[in-house]
Amino acid sequence: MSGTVNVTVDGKQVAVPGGLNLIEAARYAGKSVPHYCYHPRLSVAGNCRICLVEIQGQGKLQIACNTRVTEGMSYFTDNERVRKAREGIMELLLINHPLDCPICDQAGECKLQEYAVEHGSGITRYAFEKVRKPKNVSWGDKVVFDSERCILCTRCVRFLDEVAGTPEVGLDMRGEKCTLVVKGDGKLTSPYQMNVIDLCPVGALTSRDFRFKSRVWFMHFTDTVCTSCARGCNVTVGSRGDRVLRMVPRANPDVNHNWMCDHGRLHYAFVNDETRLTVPRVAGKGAPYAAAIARAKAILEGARGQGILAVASPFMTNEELFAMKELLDRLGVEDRFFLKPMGEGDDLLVHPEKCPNARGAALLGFAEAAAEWPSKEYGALLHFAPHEGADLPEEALKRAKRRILFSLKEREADVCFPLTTWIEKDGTVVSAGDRLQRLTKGITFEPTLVTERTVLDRLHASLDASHRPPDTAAQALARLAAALPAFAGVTWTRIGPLGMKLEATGAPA
Amino acid sequence: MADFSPELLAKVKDLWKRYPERKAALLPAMHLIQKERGGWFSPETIRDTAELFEVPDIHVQGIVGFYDMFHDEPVGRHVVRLCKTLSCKLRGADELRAHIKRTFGVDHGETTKDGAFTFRCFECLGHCTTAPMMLVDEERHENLTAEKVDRVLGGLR
Repeated sequence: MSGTVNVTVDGKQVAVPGGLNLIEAARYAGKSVPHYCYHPRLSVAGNCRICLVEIQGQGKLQIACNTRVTEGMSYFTDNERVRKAREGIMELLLINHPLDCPICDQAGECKLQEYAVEHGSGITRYAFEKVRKPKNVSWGDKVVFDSERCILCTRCVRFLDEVAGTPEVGLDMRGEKCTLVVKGDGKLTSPYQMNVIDLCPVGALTSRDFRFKSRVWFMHFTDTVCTSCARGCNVTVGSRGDRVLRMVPRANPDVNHNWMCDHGRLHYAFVNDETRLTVPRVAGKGAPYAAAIARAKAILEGARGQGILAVASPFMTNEELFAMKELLDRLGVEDRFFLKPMGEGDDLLVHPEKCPNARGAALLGFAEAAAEWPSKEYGALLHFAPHEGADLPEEALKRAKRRILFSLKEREADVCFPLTTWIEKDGTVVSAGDRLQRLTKGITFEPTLVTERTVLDRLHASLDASHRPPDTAAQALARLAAALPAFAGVTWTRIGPLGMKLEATGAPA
Repeated sequence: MADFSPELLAKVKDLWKRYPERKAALLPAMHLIQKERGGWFSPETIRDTAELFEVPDIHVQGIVGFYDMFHDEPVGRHVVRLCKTLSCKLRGADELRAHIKRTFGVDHGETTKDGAFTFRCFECLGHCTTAPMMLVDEERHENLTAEKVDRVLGGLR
């Protein structure tokens, strides 16, 4: 199983790790073998037959997914016999397929479409009526099943059994009647059930949330990180017209493999909320940023003698927290806290910390707020309200004479700045296991919005003309890395799309 | 462990010895279980079987759905399976089916009103040389004629 094995793929000799199957080994020769039922994170089912290859010395074609490399093996992924077999498989799979691509959500990201183009013959010889099966079958409030589009690859069956640990889908009947069924009342229960939508190589399983919202080719995609809990599952956000339409997991073997929980996937409505605050408010009235910043400056300067309470949010990026830290350093503020929303976790992905960056806030010198607030009175409060979870208790809010808030929705305050959500800015967060990960800007919710880091820096500059704020998140990160040993040597490029471990903090993996 | 008779459990345990893994004995065991549980797999029987074999319920349900000899609905006291495949068809299986419907009032998948038997048309039962033929529970009846059918099925009442 271990060691290196020499194989020849389509005449090209490559050395590959022993134990690989022929699909994975072919990648080393730059060849891709088509596959539907095979998935690297699931057991091998070997039922779709599209990955047939010809192994030299073996009479019959073999399925590449269920065959492992052996020393000296030579196989062909793209010769005449293989191409003809694939063409036959495609014709078979399409015999009863409804070809309802114009109204199918999978269109544009469908393996049947892709392989029909790459490996199909372009015609069918089947002249009879197609088998009809149930369409638009509800599998609960998240997943919709179309039996006619299903190619019976059983990826969903295997995912729910092997990964989610809730074996609730199976095959029923046989032959042309064969269909997927959900046990019991026919509704899925797994909190990870929506991964079957991504796994489904065709349009048989679609998302009730995303269905018919947009053709995928009109959408804009952004690789970023989910912020619903401290796990920081890597995701790709799909948006259109600067509104988020869906979120799907992005493979990261060190964080979330290919999965994410349904809660995180569906947790984006607050981004699209049209009642969000989009201009600052001063004493309850809309105001330009310059006026709001001038008022905030006056409040902070006026409160210096009486003390300032700073409460950050674990939804802030490290760069925002650092801009806040620089401002607080300048003002000489000592009481720096953040609120950490907690909830249930599980042993797959869901983390009990319901925020993306509590660890970052702690590394940047903010203290987790205790249940009891200090009985001190303050001249001013500078507070980033959390996106969700318990906010500051009234008693703490009342401690300060003046309030400067950052909030998604308008709040009673002397100055209230709009918050931007995680998909509206670049930045970094420290996920579970002290893994530094990048957030990437995908949408501009409202062109008038100024992100928090810029507001903090402008406020800082208004207090201290020598403050030279960084322009980009990457520059802000460089500044942070130079100042804090935990981030020593970190750069935007080094973090990369999959993140990196912060070695200096010494946290276990 | 699920509420199966000690005799059945002993037989299942014996079956387990013959295969590298327990799951492999599901098919023969399920025939025994179906017999003990009134000839069909209720949701409860599916659950019990899954529990006994430590496999997901949905796996057992899939087997019941796949194989025609397992039933997911209540059946009569006997199950009559009339072969409908090529040799039997050529030798008059269709006529016998119509005859059974006329005489006993049941077509494919139906059970007589008195609950005597469930009638099903079946794929090849492997006795083409003596077509047409049918199976009553586990007993073969070959070289069928309308009269012979009447005699055999009448005796089930």
